[in-house]
Amino acid sequence: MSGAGSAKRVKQVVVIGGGTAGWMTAAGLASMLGSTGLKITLIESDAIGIVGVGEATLPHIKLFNDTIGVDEAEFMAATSATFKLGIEFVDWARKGDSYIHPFGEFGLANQGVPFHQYWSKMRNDPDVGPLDEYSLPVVACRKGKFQRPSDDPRSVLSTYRYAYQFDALQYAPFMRKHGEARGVTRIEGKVTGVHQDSESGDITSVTLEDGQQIAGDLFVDCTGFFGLLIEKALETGYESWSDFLPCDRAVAVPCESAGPLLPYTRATADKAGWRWRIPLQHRTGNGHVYSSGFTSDDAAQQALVDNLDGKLLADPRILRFATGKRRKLWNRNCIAIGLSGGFLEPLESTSIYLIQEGITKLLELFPDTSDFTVEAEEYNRKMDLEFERIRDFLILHYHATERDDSDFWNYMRTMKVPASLTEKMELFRASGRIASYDHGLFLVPSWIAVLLGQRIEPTGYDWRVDQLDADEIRRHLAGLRTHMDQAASGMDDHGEFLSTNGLAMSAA
Amino acid sequence: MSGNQPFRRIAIAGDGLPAALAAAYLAKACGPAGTEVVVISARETGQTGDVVARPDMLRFNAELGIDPVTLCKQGIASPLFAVEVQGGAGPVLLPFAPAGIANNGVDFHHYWLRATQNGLANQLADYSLPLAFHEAKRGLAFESAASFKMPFGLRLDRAAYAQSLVNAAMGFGVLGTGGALDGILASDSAEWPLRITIADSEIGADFVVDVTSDGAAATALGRRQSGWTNRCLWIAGDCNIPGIELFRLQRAVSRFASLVPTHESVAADSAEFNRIYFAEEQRITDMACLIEGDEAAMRARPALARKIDVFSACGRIPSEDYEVFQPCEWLAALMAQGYLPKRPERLAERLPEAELHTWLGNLRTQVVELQKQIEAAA
Ligand SMILES: Cc1cc2nc3c(=O)[nH]c(=O)nc-3n(C[C@H](O)[C@H](O)[C@H](O)COP(=O)(O)OP(=O)(O)OC[C@H]3O[C@@H](n4cnc5c(N)ncnc54)[C@H](O)[C@@H]3O)c2cc1C
Repeated sequence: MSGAGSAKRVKQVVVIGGGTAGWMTAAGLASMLGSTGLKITLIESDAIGIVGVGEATLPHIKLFNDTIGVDEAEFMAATSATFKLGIEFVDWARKGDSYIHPFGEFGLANQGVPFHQYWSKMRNDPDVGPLDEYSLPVVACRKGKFQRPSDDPRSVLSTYRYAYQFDALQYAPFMRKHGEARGVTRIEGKVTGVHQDSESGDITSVTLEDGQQIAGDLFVDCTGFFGLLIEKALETGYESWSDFLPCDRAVAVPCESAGPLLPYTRATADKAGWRWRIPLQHRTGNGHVYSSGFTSDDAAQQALVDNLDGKLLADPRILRFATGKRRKLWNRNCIAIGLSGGFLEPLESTSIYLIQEGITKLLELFPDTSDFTVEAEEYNRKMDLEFERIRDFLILHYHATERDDSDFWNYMRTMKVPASLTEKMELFRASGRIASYDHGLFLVPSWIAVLLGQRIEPTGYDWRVDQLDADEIRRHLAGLRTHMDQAASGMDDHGEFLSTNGLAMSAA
Repeated sequence: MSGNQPFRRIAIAGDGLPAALAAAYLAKACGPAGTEVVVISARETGQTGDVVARPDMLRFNAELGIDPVTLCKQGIASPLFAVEVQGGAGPVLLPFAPAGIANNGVDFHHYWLRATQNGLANQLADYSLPLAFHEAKRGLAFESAASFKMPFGLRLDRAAYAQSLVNAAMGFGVLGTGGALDGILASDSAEWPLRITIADSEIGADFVVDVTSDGAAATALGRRQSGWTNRCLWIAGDCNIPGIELFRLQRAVSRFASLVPTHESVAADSAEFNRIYFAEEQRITDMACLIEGDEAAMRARPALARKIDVFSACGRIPSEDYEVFQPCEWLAALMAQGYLPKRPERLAERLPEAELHTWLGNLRTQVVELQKQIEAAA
């Protein structure tokens, strides 16, 4: 970035790449800053194509869509989307286990004491049942039900949020329509050259295969795993986390839907990784994420195909990736958003969230002029924290396991993990308390769901719980469980909800 | 004693308000589990004057059954919208709620900054309801203050508030020992891990919470720093920013109670407690350092230096985990030291110029009107 003396106003942003990251960025910038005179150009190459596998999301995407003015019904119909209330983890701590990480709360706090502490005290009581039964989104998932949450904070229907499962190949085109309508200029072509200022090193322009030269003040690298600007041109460097998360490949394949349309994604642990199942309106998305150090491509593909619900709809496709992130996500006048910035396996559907965070933080810190050293440093600090905290959460799923049925699980169970994660596990084991933070994606209920789901059981509980006697707690728990069950039963069947609310594909 | 047994007895070393507050809360939280709370006085002279409760103390008081409306009616408390801190270059006012209102997710001060860069003469404080209330000649009644739906704290008569806490503590079954602390020893005895000498007698305890001004019990146990080590929690409240003394006490005792201090969980619990306790201490020291305004000292504190740099560059105030002060307080402190952003957030440019001026004009009128109403009521 040039020195303060020669600082000039940032007027032109060039986004390279037209996948989910590229079009979300372009549409986001155009919707939020287009009226301030900012020009946004997006370059994409049909010859290269997009990765097209990011199909499961987190509730935050709704906020993004709402903020930039996306109509939910239009979006869902266009992308064959279904609703998602959580993720089911099957066979993770032990074979035969199943738990759901919901997008919502467990029970209701009482006198400032978190609900799970009351449950924790009583959990060996035969009438009390698993914590899952006190979470409305979990109960709704198990019943295949859905309803939009209520705005009334007194209602149990306000204790959850929802996300979507959508056709990744349709989302970028949908965002393109949205972005173009708000002034994004799209250029089709392959970038073959990147030009940098000889003094500052900033990118000044890119050249396309047909010779066109596109100049800009700020460049957003959304070229996916290519990292065309951030790595090939700027040589930013990559921080690998493959010791902690050794999965480095995925095989993906769609199949025909079978059975009821479930409002959740499923992640089933396998011998050297795990398999995903994402129900969409018109098909089911499937994949197997695995470590090439512990299994072969053929075996991984076979394990996937053997476990499909319905008939294959395409040939399986193998994707290779390196878990980690760029040393700097904002380097000089280039910001890497999406796969070009880094990748954490899709176990908790975090990639699109990270794209969204990248865009949001860029908007907040959007530079006025080319003198933006401070803004870039702050952006990198915040994004690094996001990546690192998600990384720790993912490691927990693998590390807190009793599985010893393969070399992969033996490695994961016994590997050394970041100290911050060990402390979290120790604290929960001792007291059921979550070492929380203010910044980072996963909040207390998520940690509770996965810690308990992975069979880390607290030995103690918050002693403020004893302010109520055991009978009172038992009555309170029984009442709440019935209430959750009735509330979930009163919801619509998920598939029916889609068709009766104008959200089905044919409504597009 | 078995591993998962709650403590049988917690001793509180200290006097006056800190001891009453700690004792009342811990007795309420831990008493039902069978824990006895005993206060051991520490031969301190009682402090007098006022004490400030930041906005989040209202809930804490409610948990203890202390009703702020009653305190206000009794003349023991009055609503407080900002605190004044003596800084290196004069007094600094830290408001408990922001000036103006955010618009489209962008904080008000960015709009104000944009307008001043285009010639607006008003100060940011001219749009601040909390500062208008703070400066009004007559204070607001609790109910009127609450009607504005913005956070406010309380200014309390220290001795009278301490008495309310003592009453609450007694209601929760707290015991006094009658004598003052003469000594404390960690013991290997199977019966009590701590032995406390009071005049000619001795009592045992599982844990001591030290709220004395000089850490009398903690230092006797060999501690040099406040925080939680083994069987002793030393809460230091010393800070020249009004409200921080009670904030630290309240946070420490409620966090202590929310952990599971049983004999076996002390190690994990104390590590977690200290992680947050020291993080908050850093944030408080950052603020005190900023208010003091010594450039070299400020640059030596990375999180504070970042706040200054990012704010100066683009008007945003980066937050850390476990912030103690709200963004509006940081904003006031940064501006009081003469830091001003080079530019507002770019998103603030979305509001058309004419709309911006009309909006700012309306806001200013509302603040002036409310100020007049308060003055008239006086
Ligand atoms: C196996 C797997 C499963 C995943 N599952 C999920 C999930 O469930 N949930 C989730 O949130 N995320 C998931 N992700 C991540 C998600 O797919 C990506 O974050 C998302 O698709 C964004 O990709 P992208 O836009 O960064 O890259 P891509 O989709 O690869 O797009 C790259 C773009 O750059 C363009 N390009 C590249 N080089 C050039 C060039 N030289 N000139 C011009 N254009 C160029 C291409 O044409 C393309 O348009 C998954 C990823 C993988 C690998």
